[in-house]
Amino acid sequence: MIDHLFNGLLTALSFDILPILIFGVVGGITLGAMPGLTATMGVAILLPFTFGMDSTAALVMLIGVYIGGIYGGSIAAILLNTPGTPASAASVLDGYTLTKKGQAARALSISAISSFSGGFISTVLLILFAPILANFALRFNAPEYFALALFGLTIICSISGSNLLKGLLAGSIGLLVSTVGLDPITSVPRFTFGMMDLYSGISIIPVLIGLFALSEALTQLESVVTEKKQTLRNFSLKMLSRKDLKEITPTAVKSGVLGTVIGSVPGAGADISSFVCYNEAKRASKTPEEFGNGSIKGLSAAEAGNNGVTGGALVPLLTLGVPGDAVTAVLLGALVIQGLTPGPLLFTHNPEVVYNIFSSMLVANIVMLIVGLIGIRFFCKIIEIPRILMIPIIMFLSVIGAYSINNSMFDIGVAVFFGLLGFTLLKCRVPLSPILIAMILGPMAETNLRKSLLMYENSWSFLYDRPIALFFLVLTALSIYSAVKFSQKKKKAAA
Amino acid sequence: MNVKKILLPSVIIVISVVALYFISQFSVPNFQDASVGSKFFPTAIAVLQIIICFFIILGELLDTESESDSAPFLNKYSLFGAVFIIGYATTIYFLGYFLATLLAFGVYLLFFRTKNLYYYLVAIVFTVVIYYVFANVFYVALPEGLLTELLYD
Repeated sequence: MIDHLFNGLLTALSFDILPILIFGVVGGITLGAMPGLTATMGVAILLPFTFGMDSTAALVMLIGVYIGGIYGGSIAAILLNTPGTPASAASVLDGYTLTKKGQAARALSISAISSFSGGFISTVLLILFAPILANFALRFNAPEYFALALFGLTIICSISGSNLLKGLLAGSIGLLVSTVGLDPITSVPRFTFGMMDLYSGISIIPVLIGLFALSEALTQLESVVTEKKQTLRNFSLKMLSRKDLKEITPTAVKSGVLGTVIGSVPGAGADISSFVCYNEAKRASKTPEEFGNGSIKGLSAAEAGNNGVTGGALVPLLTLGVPGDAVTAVLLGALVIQGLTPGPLLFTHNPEVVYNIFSSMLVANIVMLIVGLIGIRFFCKIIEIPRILMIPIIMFLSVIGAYSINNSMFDIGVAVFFGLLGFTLLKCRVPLSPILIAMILGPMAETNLRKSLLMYENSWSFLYDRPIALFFLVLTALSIYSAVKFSQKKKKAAA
Repeated sequence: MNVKKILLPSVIIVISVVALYFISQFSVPNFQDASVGSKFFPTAIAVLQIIICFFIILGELLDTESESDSAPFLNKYSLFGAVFIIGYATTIYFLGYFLATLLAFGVYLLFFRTKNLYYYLVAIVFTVVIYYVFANVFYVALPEGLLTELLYD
């Protein structure tokens, strides 16, 4: 493991890879800093740029975008009181208060250091625990994978928010779309209507580009004319002091660990993590009344919490092949494009790829810290870029990105269709992430269910005969139960 | 009752029923001896979808407390966006990336009555840079367009 990690670090720091990593981090921060553009959208838009790259360079760049994007969201939150991404909503509470006091540079530097702390701790924990879990997952066979996919599908319940039914509806749309193409066992054509392009199924990349980039661009277009020019308050360029650093360190470390644990639970994303860490820091504080009034510990907890998710979310993706949230679903697409299959076998067959990812995450966090601290003035300018100019650029990149995967005009049609569908669903308050997660896990569930039935000669006894499968089925039931309870609680609170 | 809120689930019910019809037309291989065939999964999903939509509609019908949403589904900008993206996808097929992107960017800026020349410059630079980067750095060929191919032929 140490050898692989060392080689990975050498690769990440090489002259070929480091500039790509820096480009990814800066690109991620830039996109994340623009209100409305999320880390998921950033990874989706920049994904086409990786098609011509080798697998290491491609993954390193996307990891950089992911880590930079989560941090970048906080810049708009702190400077404008507008979270750049949902993950940075908790940073508004204390970050913007500090900006109002003229301490924006102090807030941004605390944000950069806490994000680094969260991301770095998270990556170290990922390096320590992911290989153990992957080793355990080598025992899995079709029944275990079916039960795991079923458990993974319950993520849909937890990311549906207060409206569970609408989340399930989105999930069912994704499942139905995933059945298009040749049947995985008998090769019977399903919903192909004689079109050759549909025989291999609907490719995930144009779907995610449509859902997360095009639909978002269309939504942003509605408000672009009415938006006022973003103007910044004047602020001092004085960054955090040694005393500040000493004060935030325990909170940042604790929130980093907590964020990693939350991130490793499928369905619990950076937005949930930042609020949980913020509340925990407030609960543990001797001066909770300062929270919401410019508390540096509050800001640090939210920032370390949301970046702590970055490593945690990769645990189920890399070890089990199950994406925990939308952005890891997009990263899964990137791995597949590079001819890699996430899951326990990735650790056995392509250990260099896994450790390159780990190493690049470590380096990406360091790059994010340096760029974040040096570039405070520059990133303040980013949020002044007019959205009216960014929207067509996102649209054009989405369309050519969809085309570039297979040089196919059909894929452009798919991206546009899903862009319009996503826009319509957003209008009806139907979440989009379940569609993508269902599209990924649907075929895994179907194929392994049917393989299991063939293995057990049409008997369903594999559901209770095999302890690991049974364990996942119990987890599935518990996950559904807790999601229903959570949804009811949220509805009651809203009423 | 808000008609807008039940429109989407109603449309999805219709789509699911149509899907069920197509599923019934799937061929069944003679060698198949498994209890779960190619029809099982799509059928289960379509039925599940109908049940979910039914409950969403029921929830909306019983919900008398929430205020009806009177805002239009599309404003003129989102409608323009939808037409624009379909138009761009079609134009790129005929004219190729370069001409289609320049044309679409121009139309977009004119629609929003942008007088800032800097924006038009950005449009040109963006189009050229992306073309260059994809062709020479990533070696990804962008669409040439039907018209260009005909001209070359």
